[in-house]
Amino acid sequence: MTVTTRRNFKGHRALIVCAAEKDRAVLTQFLLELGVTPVVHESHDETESHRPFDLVFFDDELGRQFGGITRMIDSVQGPAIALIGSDAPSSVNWFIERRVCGYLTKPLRKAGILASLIIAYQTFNASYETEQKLHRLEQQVRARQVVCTAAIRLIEDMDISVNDAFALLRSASMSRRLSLEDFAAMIVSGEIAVAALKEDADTVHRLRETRLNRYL
Amino acid sequence: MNSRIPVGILFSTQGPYATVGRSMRDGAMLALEEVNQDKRFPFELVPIECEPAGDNAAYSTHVRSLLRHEGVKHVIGCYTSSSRKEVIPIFEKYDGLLWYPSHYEGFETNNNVIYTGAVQNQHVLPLMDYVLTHITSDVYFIGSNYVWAWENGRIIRELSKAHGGEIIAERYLQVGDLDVARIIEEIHEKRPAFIMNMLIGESSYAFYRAFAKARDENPALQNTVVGSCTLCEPELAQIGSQACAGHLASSVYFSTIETEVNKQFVASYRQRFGHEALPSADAEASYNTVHLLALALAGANSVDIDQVKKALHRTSFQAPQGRVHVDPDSNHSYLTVRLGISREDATFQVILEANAPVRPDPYLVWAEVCGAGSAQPAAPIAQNSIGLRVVR
Repeated sequence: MTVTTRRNFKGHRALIVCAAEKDRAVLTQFLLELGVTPVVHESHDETESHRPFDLVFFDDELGRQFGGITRMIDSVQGPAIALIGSDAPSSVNWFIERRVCGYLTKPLRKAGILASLIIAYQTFNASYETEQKLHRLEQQVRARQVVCTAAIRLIEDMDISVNDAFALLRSASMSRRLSLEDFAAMIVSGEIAVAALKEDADTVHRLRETRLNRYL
Repeated sequence: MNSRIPVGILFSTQGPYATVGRSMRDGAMLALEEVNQDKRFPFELVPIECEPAGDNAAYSTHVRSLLRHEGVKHVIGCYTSSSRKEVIPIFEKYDGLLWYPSHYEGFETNNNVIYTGAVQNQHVLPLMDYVLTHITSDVYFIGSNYVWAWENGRIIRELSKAHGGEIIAERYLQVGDLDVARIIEEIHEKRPAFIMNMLIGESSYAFYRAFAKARDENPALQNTVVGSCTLCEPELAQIGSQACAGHLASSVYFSTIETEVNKQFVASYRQRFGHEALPSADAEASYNTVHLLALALAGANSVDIDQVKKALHRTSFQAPQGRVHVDPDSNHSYLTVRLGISREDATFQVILEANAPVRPDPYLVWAEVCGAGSAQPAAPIAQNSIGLRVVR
């Protein structure tokens, strides 16, 4: 499988929360070489820029000092890369809670920073897509009861089979450019009367007959 | 091997942890003088002292100078984890060996570092074992806001929970912050049976003084015990006699250890540094470290760090605390665990002592899961499995 990864980060803004000046300097210099604008967090009193950050590099030495800094790290809607100074589990757990997508070990060197960026973006994007998909699937599961209720109403009111009821929901929602779940909710709420779907039901019935005749 | 071997001595005798730094430097220098007077050693250790004054960047500068320009291969030094981590890459680059005498939070090993101070299973685990058995499983936790307190706080939290207890509160102060009023107010309100103090330096002294006052004002706090893994004799003197008594401490060394070797050590220390001076665990660790270095140099007949390490793993030192030797698997040290109660005269009464030196476990690999029939948490919890005997 060939993986296509992002390798150009020009124009992105990176927040840097890091205690050691030497590490900040290494990171800042290299990010500039990549076309990334680094913004170093100097003080917990610093007012936040209005422009959002695309990613954040942070350690726990500075990141854990004040609640405001931790909240700032958590607010970045983009890859979070840990700058790890200690293998102590308490530190590692804190980074995990920040949902990091990658890490570098301190003291920082240029080697590894680009790789960590590529991996972090890849991980963040894959995670974001998975979360979106999960959200959609969860919505569908929640809507399942409504869809079933709508199908039962069609079965009872129109005296049609289960298969025909679901086929009717699918085709009628598609022709009205509605999601199946939204369409079912409109039937259940009475916004769409079952009687108004007679023509759609006839169409479904004709299509089924046509397919059956083809096999005979 | 040259008969004059330069050795770096890298402790901050000025700055935020000067008290501890001076203690460590004094222990190292005492040992160095003893080694140089000992006819068994065919060399003289030449100390090159450096003063980083608590500044991490200065540690780097000094180490680079020692290894590159002064012909040094072995440096005894560092106290904080941040200073140690700062200089390790330089030791790696220039093939030097850092001899690190301080207790710390563990979870590290490095081929260019010999660790002669206590790790978690030699300080916080024995202390918590005692507290959970004899005092309570609910802990009020205070610490300085950095990895030493974070990591020990994690261990204490897991142990407390495994024993059906809880962390009553977990409060952090910035290093050097003296404002303990809010903490004391909360202690008045919550009346914990046990307070784990992981504050360092002046913050800790301020807390002990404020807590003594609180205890005088509030009878409900009379039986509250404050525990520590760093409290030592020089700090008791700094805290003051009004506030330094009755606290529980976990340490591999106390100045009141009743062995001939320790009595001689204390006498030598006082002769060298003043009649009122008392060695601490940090001083003893540095003292042991220099002796171990000398024995290893003699055994290797070389300053080459690989040769020295091989020789080190074959030797041991009869230290004031008991026999000390370095584990070849981790380059950490077998040390004798003890618990003590502080006294008004800035000494400790030793109340419990391990039967034998305890193997270091910097990654808590061999620590057992807490049992006693309670529900086992998903992650392995460290438990002290050494035998502790009561000291009469």
